[in-house]
Amino acid sequence: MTPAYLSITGMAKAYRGTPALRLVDLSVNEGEFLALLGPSGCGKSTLLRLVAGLLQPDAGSITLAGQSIERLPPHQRDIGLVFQNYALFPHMSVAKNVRFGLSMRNMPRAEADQRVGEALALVKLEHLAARMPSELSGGQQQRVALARAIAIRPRLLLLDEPLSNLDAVLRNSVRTELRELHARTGLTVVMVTHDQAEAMTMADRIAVMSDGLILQHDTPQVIYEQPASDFVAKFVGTPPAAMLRVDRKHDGGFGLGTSPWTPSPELARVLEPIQRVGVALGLRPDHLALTAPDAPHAMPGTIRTIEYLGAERLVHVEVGGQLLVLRLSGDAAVGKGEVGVAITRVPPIFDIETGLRLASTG
Amino acid sequence: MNLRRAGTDTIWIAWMAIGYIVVLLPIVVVVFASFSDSNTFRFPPTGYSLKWYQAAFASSEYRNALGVSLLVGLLATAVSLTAGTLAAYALSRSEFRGKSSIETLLLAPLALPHIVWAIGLLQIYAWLGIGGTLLGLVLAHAALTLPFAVRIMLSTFIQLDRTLQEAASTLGASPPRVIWHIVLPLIWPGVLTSALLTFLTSFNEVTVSVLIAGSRYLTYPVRLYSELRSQGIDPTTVAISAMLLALIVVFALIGERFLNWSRRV
Ligand SMILES: Nc1ncnc2c1ncn2[C@@H]1O[C@H](COP(=O)(O)OP(=O)(O)OP(=O)(O)O)[C@@H](O)[C@H]1O
Ligand SMILES: [Mg+2]
Repeated sequence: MTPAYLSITGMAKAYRGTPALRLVDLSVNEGEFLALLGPSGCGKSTLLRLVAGLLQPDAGSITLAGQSIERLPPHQRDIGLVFQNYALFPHMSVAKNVRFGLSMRNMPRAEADQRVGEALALVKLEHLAARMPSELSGGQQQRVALARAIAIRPRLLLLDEPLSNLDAVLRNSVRTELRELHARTGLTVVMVTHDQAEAMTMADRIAVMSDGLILQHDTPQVIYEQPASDFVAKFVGTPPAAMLRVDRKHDGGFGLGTSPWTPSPELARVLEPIQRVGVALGLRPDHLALTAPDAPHAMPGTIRTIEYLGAERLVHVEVGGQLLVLRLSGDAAVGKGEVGVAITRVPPIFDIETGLRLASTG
Repeated sequence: MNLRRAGTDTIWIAWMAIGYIVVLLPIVVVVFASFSDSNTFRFPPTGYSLKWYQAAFASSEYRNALGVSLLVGLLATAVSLTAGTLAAYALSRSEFRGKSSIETLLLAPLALPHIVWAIGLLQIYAWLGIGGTLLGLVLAHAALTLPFAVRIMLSTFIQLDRTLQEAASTLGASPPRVIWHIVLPLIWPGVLTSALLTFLTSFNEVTVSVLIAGSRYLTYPVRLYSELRSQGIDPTTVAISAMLLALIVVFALIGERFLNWSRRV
């Protein structure tokens, strides 16, 4: 196997004794779009700044295109970084901002002019080249920052929550633009985000982070369908997976809360061999269907709320003290009250104690 | 309701007017008196002429004093600004225990009467053997104005977004080029503001200058002061003062127009 384009091994970083990154290994292939996904404070920006050279790691190494870069100062790394607050130089026009990296490389004037034009065209801002940053909207500033980073033709493009300051409508269009830009330039991109929908829709692969560790690194589909832990299952998906605890009775049967329950034969086949007191099922709407309360294998529940979303409705049903979410088409008739919930597909199953997915399942 | 409103407005306006009169009246007196044609200081003048201005330009004593003031002011500004900028940079970039007490301490000379401070300084200069020297005078003025410089530069550096320097470095700028292309262009209004304030403070200083420099380096305000004590008011000094005043007003207008002075200090 050829080594990855960007490979980070054994990376650790603490701020005055408080670890921000515990131990991170990560590899990104050339031309790939990777999303670093995790809740606020989990160390995403720290990892990005280490790669860019703005922070020194306590341990670990970084190679980029076969070259070890962890000792290079940031200005020799050829890595483009777009900051969350854009960090446009306020005393320079849009064109001067985009040209800055080229001037630092002492590029001849004509060539630099052409590059600036190309970069601005790529983000559709040629007409604003003479403006000052303070005269731009947030979305335009974001695109200038992007153009400035792309103009140097970086070996790697790092984006730190590039869309978080944009309103919902703009965010959607910039998402598409970013994807297109990635396709056109063939750049290798690492994008930080705490928005799972953004990561799912934009990235080739996602690295899910929590508390200074990478929990899972895979394609969006695998992350969604085979989450490595209950944390990943609860962090990813709209709505996120709900955890339903299933207990093993002394007689070998199963129980939900205090009442006994007989799972479908298909699910029982998976649950039977697990020698645990209890497991958690990671249930998404796709695993569930509404039935009569007394249908075979159904879990008895009570409808709590119904969210109307136009084409569909989300029904929140309380089962064994847990809230599960089901999806119904917009016109299906439901009232409140007692219902049954059937598990129609085998969901991922997690260890109650460790939260890890049990390897035999899902 | 409206009447009451108008009433309070009138009171505020009157109050402001009193303030302006208190501050500006002495200046008006000086300006008018400088154009007087009599041989002694009087206000209001009985007739007008430019003769005191002519006398001022002819007097080598005042020219020398102005020269000393200018030299001391420029040197003190250079020293104070360099030291103040570096200190402010260090303060803005580091977090350590006792940082806020150091910031407060840096302001101490502002609160202390200059005379007290000058007496202490005199002792130290005696030990160092730089009492009565130009170096001693420049250092005294620099130390006196350092708090202004630190204060202004500190707020300048705090307003300077650090990610700008990081962005520049990821774009390929080496540390010296980051300073040249990003830091300096963004802090120069602060630098200019503290330079002007420092210079003007040094230029106006009497107490410390008298004690430190003795009679060897007479700055302009010191000369003026001693003149006043021995022979009363010489109209020549009034004319010079009026010219300095005009210069300072021009400085202040420039500072306000281009550097937002009133919001910075
Ligand atoms: N300069 C710093 N000094 C001390 N602690 C820091 C510093 N920068 C970050 N931290 C801490 O390190 C941890 C990781 O921070 P980091 O900025 O990498 O998080 P993040 O995942 O980017 O979060 P967010 O989504 O909110 O931007 C946090 O607990 C944070 O408080
Ligand atoms: Mg962050």
